[in-house]
Amino acid sequence: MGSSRRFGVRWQAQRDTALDSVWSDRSSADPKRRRRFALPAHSKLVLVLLLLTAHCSLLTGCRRDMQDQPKAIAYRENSFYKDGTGSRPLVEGTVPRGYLRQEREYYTGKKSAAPSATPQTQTAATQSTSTPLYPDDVETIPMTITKADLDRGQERYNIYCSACHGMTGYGDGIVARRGFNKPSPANYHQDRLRQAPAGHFFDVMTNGWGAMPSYASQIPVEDRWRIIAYLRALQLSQQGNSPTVNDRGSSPTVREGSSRK
Amino acid sequence: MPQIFRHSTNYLARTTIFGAIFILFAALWVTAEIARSGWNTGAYIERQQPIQFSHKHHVGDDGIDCRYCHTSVETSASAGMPATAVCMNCHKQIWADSPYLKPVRDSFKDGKPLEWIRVHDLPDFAYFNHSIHINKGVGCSTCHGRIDQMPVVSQTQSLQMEWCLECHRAPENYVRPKEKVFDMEWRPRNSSKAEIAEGLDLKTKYHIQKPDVLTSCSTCHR
Ligand code: HEC
Ligand code: HEC
Ligand code: HEC
Ligand code: HEC
Ligand code: HEC
Ligand code: HEC
Repeated sequence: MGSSRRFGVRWQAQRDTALDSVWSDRSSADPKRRRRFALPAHSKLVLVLLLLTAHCSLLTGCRRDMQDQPKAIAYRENSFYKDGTGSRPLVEGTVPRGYLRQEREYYTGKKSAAPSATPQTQTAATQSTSTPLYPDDVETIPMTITKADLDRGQERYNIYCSACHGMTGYGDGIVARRGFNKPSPANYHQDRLRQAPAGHFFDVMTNGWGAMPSYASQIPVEDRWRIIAYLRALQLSQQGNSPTVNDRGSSPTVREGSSRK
Repeated sequence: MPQIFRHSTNYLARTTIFGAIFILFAALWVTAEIARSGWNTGAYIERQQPIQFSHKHHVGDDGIDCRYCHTSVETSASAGMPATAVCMNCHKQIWADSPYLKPVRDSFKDGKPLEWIRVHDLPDFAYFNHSIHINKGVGCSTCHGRIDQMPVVSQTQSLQMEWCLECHRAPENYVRPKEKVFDMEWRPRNSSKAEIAEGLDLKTKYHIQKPDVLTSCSTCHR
């Protein structure tokens, strides 16, 4: 610093002669003061540029108003509404576009007509007993299932159900093994569930069942039916494969799986 | 006239001129580096959350799929944050009296939403949409890093415009088969010739638009 100041002083000496007229009154008042702050001309330029660049880095570092605009954005807290969130709940008694759910069978899994009025077609796997356990539930999936739907069902099952019920549906998923076993997740390969109508599974997913939580908020209706299609495939695939499992699962009151732990 | 400048002053003058240029560029470079650094972009800064929720536990150890909690990531702009009820699906029973989960139970009881601290935060004047990226084969780990190994989430990319554009100019360097989007172990970017060739195939297969569309200002500033 010291040397550059001396350097500055020398340049100043030269400039003084030229600028004397302009700065005359001040310089006559206090010549020392002016000299102290003086810098050579081009180093002033450098200084300005340095300040500018420093300014730029300051600017990039700070967040301005456009960065956080006072508008409602998904999940952002919002002081405008009393409950503190910007996402608004549905106004009571209104139905959003596309949510008019008239087809009772499709959206609730319940028969639209009175129970047992029309005996529905059944798949081989669900030859029912004379007194059905779930008389209100639709027997079959009320949509056509293609291979693509089945694949999607498998994918969704693995996302939402396998954590508890296991990849193959024996009720031995990792979360069950980590302690979700009072009661443990159901084993699908038991007679009661093999014979249960498709609508029962829909009901379980939609409304929950005992310790099993509802998945209505996480899984759209269409995907719930696809999961059921996959569950049926899973049940068929395990049929006869392991007789011990059939035996274990045959009593409707015993919940099996990981309770060994 | 007396000699005001000594001869050596010439050197000084010259060095200051060159020095000034050097200093100028150095300053610009430093500025650019600072602007890209984590200090400015927030990358790698771990935010302590009100609940010690660990992706390492839930995803890495327990193998829970991203979509179990971030339900809307395939269908909407926002990935979606899990509702309290979703945590309670499992924590009704698992660690049901853990002190770490007290805020979750409280929220479940009184209906007040959980409050998380945002980690990734684009400015509001930029438009981002998860679903398009997920459906065109851009994986979570490309943009978010190995979430399954993070006890506390931190940002691994700058999230600056430059970063978005780098991919939008040449998506073939990043896209992967759609089934692998949620695969945390899949390579975050294509580097070898074969991988890039695969990327190019996927680019045509998924009908990814041309760079001039993807880098047009109105794509992201709308
Ligand atoms: C958090 C763990 C968990 C998850 C995830 C889970 N379940 Fe369950 N599930 C259970 C438990 C526990 C039971 C036993 C409930 C009881 O009997 O009280 C059960 C029971 C069932 C039953 C048998 C109901 C009956 O009649 O006994 C079906 C069917 C079922 N679950 C389907 C599903 C489907 C489909 C999914 C995925 C969408 C799923 N579950 C996801 C824990 C889970
Ligand atoms: C059990 C539920 C759960 C699962 C499964 C889950 N997350 Fe999360 N995720 C959360 C919660 C809760 C937060 C908010 C707390 C936090 O930031 O740690 C979060 C935050 C995040 C964030 C940071 C959001 C922000 O604030 O910017 C990212 C990114 C993320 N998750 C990605 C993933 C990815 C990728 C996966 C799958 C590999 C995944 N998550 C699986 C619950 C989950
Ligand atoms: C699919 C089931 C599942 C869901 C959903 C889930 N967790 Fe967990 N969580 C677990 C399991 C299993 C463990 C135990 C992990 C272990 O010990 O390996 C755990 C452990 C934890 C712990 C550590 C508890 C302790 O005392 O060490 C916290 C905190 C936690 N979870 C928070 C959350 C939050 C917050 C959510 C909601 C965003 C959530 N979890 C959703 C299964 C789940
Ligand atoms: C193309 C890059 C990219 C990909 C791929 C991506 N994300 Fe994100 N993610 C972002 C950005 C950018 C943000 C910040 C969004 C904002 O601030 O509006 C973000 C935010 C989030 C958040 C916070 C909530 C929100 O939506 O703002 C979560 C959770 C999340 N991502 C999860 C995921 C999951 C899970 C996946 C994989 C299925 C994924 N992301 C894939 C770039 C990406
Ligand atoms: C790793 C690659 C990658 C990164 C990083 C990335 N994108 Fe994309 N983005 C894509 C691909 C691929 C598409 C799909 C283009 C298509 O459909 O033609 C896309 C599409 C989009 C679209 C929709 C374009 C349209 O025509 O509607 C928007 C908006 C977008 N990206 C914004 C962003 C923003 C903002 C960021 C940075 C925060 C970002 N992207 C980062 C790969 C990426
Ligand atoms: C792929 C998406 C994308 C495209 C295309 C894009 N931007 Fe951006 N832009 C962003 C994002 C994301 C940010 C926020 C970056 C940040 O937070 O640092 C941004 C920030 C900006 C900023 C503010 C910079 C600041 O520091 O505040 C300006 C100005 C801008 N963009 C102009 C443009 C112009 C002009 C174009 C067209 C030539 C363009 N952008 C195209 C994503 C995009």
